[in-house]
Amino acid sequence: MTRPDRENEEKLEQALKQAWDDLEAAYPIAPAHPEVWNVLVREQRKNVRRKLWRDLLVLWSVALPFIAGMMLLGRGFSGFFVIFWSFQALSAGIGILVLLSEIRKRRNKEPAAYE
Amino acid sequence: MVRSGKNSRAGRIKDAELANLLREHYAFVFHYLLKITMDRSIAEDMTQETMIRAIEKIDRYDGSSKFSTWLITIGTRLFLDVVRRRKRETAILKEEGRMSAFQWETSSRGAEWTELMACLEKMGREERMPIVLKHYYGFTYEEIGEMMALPAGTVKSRIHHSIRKIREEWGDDDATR
Repeated sequence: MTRPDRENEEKLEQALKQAWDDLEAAYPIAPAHPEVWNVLVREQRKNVRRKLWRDLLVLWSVALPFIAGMMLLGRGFSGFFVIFWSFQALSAGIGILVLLSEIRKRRNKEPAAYE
Repeated sequence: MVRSGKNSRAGRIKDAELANLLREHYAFVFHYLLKITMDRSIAEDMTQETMIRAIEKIDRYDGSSKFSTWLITIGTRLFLDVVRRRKRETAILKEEGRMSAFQWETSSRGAEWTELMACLEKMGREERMPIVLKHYYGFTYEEIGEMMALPAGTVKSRIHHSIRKIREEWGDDDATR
């Protein structure tokens, strides 16, 4: 980069900064009263906790009958090892497929997700 | 011009402390979003949305970056998400109408509407964002790439291209003045 180029670059950078500073000055903003923020944070955190509990409840409501069913199946099929283990392998296979699809979905969604 | 942030383990932040942190950074986030959207009402909506997201995701903040940087990342991704969703739904905003409203509002607030502002206004929002992050907030190409989910090289070439575009237009206007 030559000297005049560098000077132009600096001039442009200065002008950009000035333009954005002016913009900030033209739009002053005052945040709400601290109590409003306290209520917002409290309520929002309560919602997040409620959602987590709901998800956990859904997980166990599906998992418990499934585990119990498999245990009963194991007892019932105690004489039929091949059938029992085929059921086990099938459910594990389905689980892995669901997991892979979730990972793929998450990866596609990543650019749009908020950290 | 990145404001100072807290480098504590945020998972343990108490409600009152988090509320205070968010309140302190509210104007900072709003002004960042104002610069990239160039629309006051959208910037206000997105600032509020950013704050809500920050409360929801606070457990993921590990203190490895400044709190202000973390908030800017959330705002950036929120903004990109909205832009992409709008593109998908083909309900793109009528830039012309919105921008003249912004120009009118800025001027009515006593600020001068410079040629440079007009150049920035003409740019696409996704073009404007990396320039603001680089030339106003001083983030590195790598940091911007992380925020925008793009490789650093792509960010660098986008910024270079946009700056050249501004320089050409602004230079022309500057010469005619």
